Amino acid sequence: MADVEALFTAALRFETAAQRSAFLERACAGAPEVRRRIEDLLSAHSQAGGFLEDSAVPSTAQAEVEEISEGPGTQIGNYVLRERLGEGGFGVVYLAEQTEPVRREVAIKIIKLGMDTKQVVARFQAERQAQALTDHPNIAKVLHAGATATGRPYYVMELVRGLPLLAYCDRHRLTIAERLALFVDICHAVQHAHHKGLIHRDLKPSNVLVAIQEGHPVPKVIDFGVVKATTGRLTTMTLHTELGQLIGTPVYMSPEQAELSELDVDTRTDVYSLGALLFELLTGTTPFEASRLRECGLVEIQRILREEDPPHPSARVQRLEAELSEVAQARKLDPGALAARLRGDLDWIVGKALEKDRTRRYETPDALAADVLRHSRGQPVLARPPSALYVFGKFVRRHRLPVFAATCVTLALLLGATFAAWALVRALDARDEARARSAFLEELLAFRTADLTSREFIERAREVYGADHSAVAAALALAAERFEETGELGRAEEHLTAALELWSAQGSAGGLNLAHAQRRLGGLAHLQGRTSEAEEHLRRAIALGERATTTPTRFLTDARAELAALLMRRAEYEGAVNELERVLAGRTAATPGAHALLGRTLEDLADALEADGRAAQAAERRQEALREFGLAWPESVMLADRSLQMGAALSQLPGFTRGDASAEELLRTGIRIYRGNPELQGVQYLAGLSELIELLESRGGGAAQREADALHAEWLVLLRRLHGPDSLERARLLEQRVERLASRGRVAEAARLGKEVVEIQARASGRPVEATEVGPEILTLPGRIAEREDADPETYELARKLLDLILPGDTLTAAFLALRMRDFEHTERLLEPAVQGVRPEQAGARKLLLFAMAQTGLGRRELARVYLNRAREELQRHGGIGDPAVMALLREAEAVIEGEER
Amino acid sequence: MQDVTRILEALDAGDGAAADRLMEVVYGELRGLARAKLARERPDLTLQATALVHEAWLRLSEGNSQSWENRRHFFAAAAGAMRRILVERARRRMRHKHGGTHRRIDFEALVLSTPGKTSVDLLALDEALAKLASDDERKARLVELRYFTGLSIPEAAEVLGISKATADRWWAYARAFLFHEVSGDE
Repeated sequence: MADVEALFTAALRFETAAQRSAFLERACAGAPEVRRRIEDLLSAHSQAGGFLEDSAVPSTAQAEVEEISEGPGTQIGNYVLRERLGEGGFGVVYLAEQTEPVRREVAIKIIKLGMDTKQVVARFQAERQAQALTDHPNIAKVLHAGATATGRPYYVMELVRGLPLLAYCDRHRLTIAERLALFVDICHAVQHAHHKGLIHRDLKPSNVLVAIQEGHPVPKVIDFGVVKATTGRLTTMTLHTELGQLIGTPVYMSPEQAELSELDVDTRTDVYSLGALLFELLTGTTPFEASRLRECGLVEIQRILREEDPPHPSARVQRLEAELSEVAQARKLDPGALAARLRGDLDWIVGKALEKDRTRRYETPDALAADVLRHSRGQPVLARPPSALYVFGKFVRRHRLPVFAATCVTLALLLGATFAAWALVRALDARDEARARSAFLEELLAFRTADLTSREFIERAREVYGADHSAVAAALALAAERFEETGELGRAEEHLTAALELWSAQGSAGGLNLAHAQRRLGGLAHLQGRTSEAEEHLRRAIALGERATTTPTRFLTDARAELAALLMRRAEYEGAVNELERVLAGRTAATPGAHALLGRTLEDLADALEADGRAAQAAERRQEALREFGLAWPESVMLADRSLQMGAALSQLPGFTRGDASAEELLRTGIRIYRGNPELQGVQYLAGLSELIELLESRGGGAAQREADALHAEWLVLLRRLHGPDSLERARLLEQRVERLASRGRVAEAARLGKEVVEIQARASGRPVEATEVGPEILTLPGRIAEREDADPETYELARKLLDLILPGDTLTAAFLALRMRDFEHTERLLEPAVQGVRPEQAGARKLLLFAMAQTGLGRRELARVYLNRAREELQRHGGIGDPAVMALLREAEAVIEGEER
Repeated sequence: MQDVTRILEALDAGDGAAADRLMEVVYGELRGLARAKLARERPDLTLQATALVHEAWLRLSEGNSQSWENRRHFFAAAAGAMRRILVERARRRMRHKHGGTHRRIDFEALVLSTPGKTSVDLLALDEALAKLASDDERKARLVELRYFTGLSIPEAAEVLGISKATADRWWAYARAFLFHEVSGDE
């Protein structure tokens, strides 16, 4: 019957019944049953109508949305609706007039979700309290929230008279620089809200309006808190139910948010959305095509957001085809100049904001803004990741190969591709064929050849270039480069391998081309994790390069650097060190003034040496690297970051003594530079501070401790500012600090911060405190405090509060703390059930000792001695002797009881 | 989740019987969830299949990020489980119609609303699906995913590991096949 399906499918392709019938006549000759069966199915197909097309259960797309009955003229509270301003996924927005207490115009959004109004309104009220704190020129204020007469939630917002962000930018033809300036304002607004504990969750260009105030454009972020209010019943259920609405704009949604695990969304989801927004500001299009996402179901959207890398903005605009000139003009640029403007810094910045893994994103909107500002000021941006391995991973997507660049700079700029340009230029010289060739070149550049296999491509190229194999090969290589850009690495390899074969056939004439092709194949194999193959390609590239007499050093050193990165990945550290030493020698000789490049090379070498177990040599190389960075970027945060990193690395070195001056010096250098740039103080600075605090505390001494305390206070303030009061990241860093404080015996401060950690976690996760995950440092903290005899009453009280939060059922520790606070009756009450229970022998020595001490406190010395003896027996029986904590308690009890006796 | 993880591992190792065990677990989970929802929330609340299935997944995987392969197994099992829940409900209704005496609250009936526009005889469909499955198991799976859990064609294609074009083709064929069966041979 398998035939039946094939024939049925084939028959469906014919449009008319007559055609189908003719087809079946031929196809089913001699098999009347088959033909009858297919005709039955075809007739069923035509009659089936909507059969099964509606799911047996409503799908998310059909979520119930009732029509809104309110309209112009309707009075809602103190407001009269005037004119409909727009409609979004959530509701309808009206211009309204407020009558009391003041007459003014506002915007009212009426929510159309079919959901529990009371809860939504309650949540709005809560949000509004947060909103009241939100006083920022770039955030539209929420003034009031309530429910309409028909029970629909609404909220009242400051009326912003302005255009949506993209419309404003395009209408006024803002340049890239002007767009970036607006974007920085938006980032700061979002950062401000994060400080107040608000995550937007639905940042997109239409949620940013641009108003003109005193002649200047002022962006205003609207709808803050709205998404949370409408979806924030912290059950995952609700989120899914409301998905139909939420998923309206998945193009701006972070991968973790699309996963719908509400617990896992933090402020960095907004950083992602800001990245998507920046992408669109720059390129006029979204990272993933909206039309494509709209067609996908939830699962597919999740997969795309989780797995597919968006193209670089510069790569994306090159594929815009017809729209390119329009997009470029709206930015006052020539079509050819747009990609060049975006390439480099802006590609990297957008890429970092859109990282799938949020730990690789900018930590905060401010950090993103700071990098944009650096770009605007012509300073080096942080987005360029430092490690050679990472750079290499990304590098294949970028255009390099300067060996040809010198000969065809103009075309290279136009193409955005340098590798193949040289051969194509040569081919274009033959004037009689120029037209066909330039047509082909255009086709190549617009990537209309994307659907051709390499074999078909070669045929097509031969039509144009005839027997000029070198030109055909170069065209193949160019096509391969386009595939790399679009992430189709397998197809890039296919085209490049075909090019390689053509060049190989030319013998020595193809030498340098062969070397380049081998190197790129190596890069592609590396990217796809086939490391041994990658190594073979790279070694061949190096051998070919060494044989070709005119090879520039740059090619060889770069190829060796790639090989080194590969060897690092394969954990062949010694080989990596050898290669990197040659790279260093090559670069020092060829580019003596390139301090940043030399610095990075030295850093890579230090990494390799460290991995190879040669820590001392590594440290030396790091110092040299730092010198180079100092020359490259004097007094810049780039230098500060390196100094802090190296200072931290040095102080964590085995064998490092806390008196070692160089680590401290490095940390101080970094901190000094950051203090001169307070607006750039970010996570690096935060980490540097905590490293120096640690170093000073471990050195000890009055002056060092005082300085550490001051730094600790600064650290706490900055931590709150950077990560917001209620972020899990803040909780995590505080917890680390608790650990250090506790281990230094500063238990009061540890308990205070520990309590805060637990409370943040509960708030951030929406779970009750006892369900939060508390690390062992905090869990054991109340007990450790109770074991101390010397703490002050406030510390015991803090410990008790902390215990109540994390382990309310731990009567032993609770009793211990009550004893410390000299509340003997409470101690007795807590322990009574255990020590006087049915099986008192199970009470345990600790409880018996505590109980005995409480009895002493209550003046019942005889009873105290009885329990002391029971505890001694217990210890004998169960071998508790040897546990130093229990023995210390025993000695304490003996001193208390027998001391008073004497 | 211990259970589910072990079952998923067994599935990966090619243990065919594990698929049935997985469906049992998912079936129980879905019913339990529906019942709990009903107890907690408004009685006229309508749950959506896709949402229900996603929540079941979140609960069973306990927030661990499971491999895509595991998700795939899960969705296939959930589709089967939803089919069973709906068909059982249809059977019960038939019994009620034929003189069932005591009325009881039929929670699935409350929780899972019936299709709006086209009414389908679920019992007939169930039989027709069994027949389709004996010809071609995977096409029947596609219908389950699409019709009983509300996945879109591309989503269902992904779960089955086939291309969207293939899924379109299969869907056209399966729909014609089932419609022909359900509408009865004259």
